[in-house]
Amino acid sequence: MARLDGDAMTTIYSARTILTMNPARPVVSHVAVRDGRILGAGSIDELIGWGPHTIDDRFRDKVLMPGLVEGHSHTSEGSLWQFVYCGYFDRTDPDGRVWPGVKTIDALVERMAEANRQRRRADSALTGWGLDPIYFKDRRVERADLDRVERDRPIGIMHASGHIMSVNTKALEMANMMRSGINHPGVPMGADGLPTGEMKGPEAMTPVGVHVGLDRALLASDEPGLRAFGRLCVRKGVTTATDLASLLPSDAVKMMQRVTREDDFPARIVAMRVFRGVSPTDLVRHAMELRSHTSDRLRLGAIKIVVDGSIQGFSARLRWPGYYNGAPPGLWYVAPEQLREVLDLALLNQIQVHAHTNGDEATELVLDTLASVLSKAPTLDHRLTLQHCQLADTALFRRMKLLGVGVNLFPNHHYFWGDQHYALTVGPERAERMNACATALANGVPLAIHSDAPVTPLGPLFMAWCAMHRITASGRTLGRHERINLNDALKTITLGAAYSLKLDHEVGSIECGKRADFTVLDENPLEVDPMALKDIGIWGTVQGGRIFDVSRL
Amino acid sequence: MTSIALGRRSALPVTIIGGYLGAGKTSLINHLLRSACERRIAVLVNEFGALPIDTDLIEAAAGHVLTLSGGCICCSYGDDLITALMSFGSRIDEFDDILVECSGVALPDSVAASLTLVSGVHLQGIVVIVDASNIESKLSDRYVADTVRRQLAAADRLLINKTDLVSLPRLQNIEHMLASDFPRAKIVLTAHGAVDSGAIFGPQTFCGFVGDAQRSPHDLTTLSSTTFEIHNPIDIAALAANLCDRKLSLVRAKGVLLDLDGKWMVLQIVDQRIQITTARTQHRRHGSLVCIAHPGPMDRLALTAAVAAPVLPRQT
Repeated sequence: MARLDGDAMTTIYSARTILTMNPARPVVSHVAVRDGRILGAGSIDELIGWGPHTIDDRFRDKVLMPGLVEGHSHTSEGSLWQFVYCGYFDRTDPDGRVWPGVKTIDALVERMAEANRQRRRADSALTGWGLDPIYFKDRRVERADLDRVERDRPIGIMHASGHIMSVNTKALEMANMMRSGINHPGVPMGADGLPTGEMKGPEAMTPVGVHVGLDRALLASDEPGLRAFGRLCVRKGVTTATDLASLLPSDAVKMMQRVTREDDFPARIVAMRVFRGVSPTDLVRHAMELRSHTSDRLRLGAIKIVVDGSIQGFSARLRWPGYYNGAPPGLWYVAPEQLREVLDLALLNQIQVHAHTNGDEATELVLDTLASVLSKAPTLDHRLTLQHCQLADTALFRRMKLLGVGVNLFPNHHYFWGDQHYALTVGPERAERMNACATALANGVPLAIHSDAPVTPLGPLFMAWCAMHRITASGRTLGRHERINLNDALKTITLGAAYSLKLDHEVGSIECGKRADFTVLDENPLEVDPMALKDIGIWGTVQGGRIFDVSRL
Repeated sequence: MTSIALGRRSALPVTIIGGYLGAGKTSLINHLLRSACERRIAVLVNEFGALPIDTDLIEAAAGHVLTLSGGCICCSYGDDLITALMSFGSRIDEFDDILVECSGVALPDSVAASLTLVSGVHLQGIVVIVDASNIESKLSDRYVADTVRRQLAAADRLLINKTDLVSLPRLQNIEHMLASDFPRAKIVLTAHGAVDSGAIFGPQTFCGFVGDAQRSPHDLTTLSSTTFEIHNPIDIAALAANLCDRKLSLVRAKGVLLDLDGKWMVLQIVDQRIQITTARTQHRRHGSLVCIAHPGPMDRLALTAAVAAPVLPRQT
């Protein structure tokens, strides 16, 4: 096709099917793209009206969806792949290699030993991640196990939860922790009066972590890690992802700006400033300053506030009657007064707040506080989003609707830890209502779902599958009545997540004016067996009109 | 195989300062830094918050570390206390004490447990501060009551602060309630965090509360102390003679003071015995003097006159 000089190039893509998530025309055959944005979605006859164009048929056998949006992930998932994957479930690395799950302690030792043979650098630690001994019939992974890999090199393996680390004797020696007299709940001691090698919680992990390559600066994603995260996004069909909790010091921001600006960086990253180590005033001031540095592929200016801990760590704040096993009712990570001050200042300055609340009491505190702030300073479209919000009951969802609050729920938890929630943490009844996606939708609460990668793997199609089926690793359907249908599930991983990030006017559906962000699938999610949704092949993505083919990453 | 513990002489004592948000932890720390005398204190704070270290105490600021007068420093640790503590395990010769300020919702016994993970430090004690003006409401708050209770239960010393904001009967009720609910803790009353540093750094030097505090009428046994800040040059010999006046009934006095020659000196008086030595750290901007008196009414006017007379008005 001829193109007039000076005119922007228009490309019209054909596809087997295009699912737009636009209810006015949900399924079309073509989409026209100009300047990285969508001119229109419809038939070829409709689209040629835009003038000179090129027809591109490369997707004629493929199915296009809006680029998938991951509303709660951490770019550290990219960094972790420099270490040895030790998880129970198969997982794909940024370069496309599928690492089979480690099913036994012997298999774990063999995997680490193999890596030990390959990474023969005397001065370096051997590091693993993703371990989940819950599946080893409660047999813990201790230093004696890892000493079988190597006695004279420090070895550490981060568990899937991110809250526990298993280390060998050498690592304990280097941290000066091969000694008796340690009296800390996070450091179990063996019959010999010495640490077993399991380090639980950040305090216990930190002194050893620095000797096994797992120091906490890790979470401030490194440059190769960010690029690796970008490649993972393409493999999983994600075109917009979050780095939900970072201190965002200026060096990290400069690095992220530089990397995301690269021509081949394939994702839009929404990075949020976590409330930690500063006063509420300085927090909001920093968020406002960050907002002024926002760009298309690096969105800045929102705040994340962690209100309580985790359910599996028994640190989430639960209302009466608390934990099923009688554990104390959890921990506050902020004082209610600080939460109030952050919300006051953030709403006043149009800074969006995402609040991590795992337990129902934490959720209730945020709603109480927000109600009080709003009654004094009514703010339209504050779009406060509760992250995880795993235990909210129906009454809390009704209040969310009234207060304009959205949720980003965590149905992946049902698959990976649902059996433990049923048996141990919250008990059968509340385990069934955890991550109440159907209740959220029934009450008109804006819904997104997330992976919290690297806690669970990045992969929105798998998340949608979890929300549809609520199947646990042992095969139990946990909370049949909270399952959602396919259309709603697909909406949560596109428009739903985009709404939670205040990006629904730019991404989340394929319609005129939005960013040309597509996920390119081998199969049509509306036609496959619902149980196969998570297994649909992903050819790649189109992000801002740029084409990313998984096979060429 | 080597151990990093080699060459370690002993461990640095750590005092944990806990208490709910707003109870007065930062005021206490400012007061302790002011009246530190010769102690070199490393303060680890959760954050440089809205009520920071008094600016006149700060000599230099670099990132997360403030250098303070008198060889003290203040570091903010965010949520990584362990890394901050590990950096002190090897600096045992630089400091006499570490103060750890907990965040407003932290559990001090959890912080104490984490000390056992770090070599080179040991727990000296847990001080938990109570805001007398709101402790009753915090202990019945639906969200934080259990957190506040767990904080109080961890204390070996409970500082009831802001006593100037409540009536005497109410103060007595609070003191009674805390004493019966938390019998393990020694209770000290104060206002503006102005407590004698002995009450914080060790029982061996414990000497009661500072004169500013409102005092329980039934308490006639506690020594009382008064702290003066003296930044101008002073005739130390004359001051010492004044303080030995038996009418003041001082048990002892200790101070770091600028003498008339512009040198920082340490004055110590114990039972009328006077000792004046050159201060270890000359690079400082603040002088202070703590006077400790026998139980019973203190003649504060006479004491103030005895201290004020030898002070030289500073030429500016």
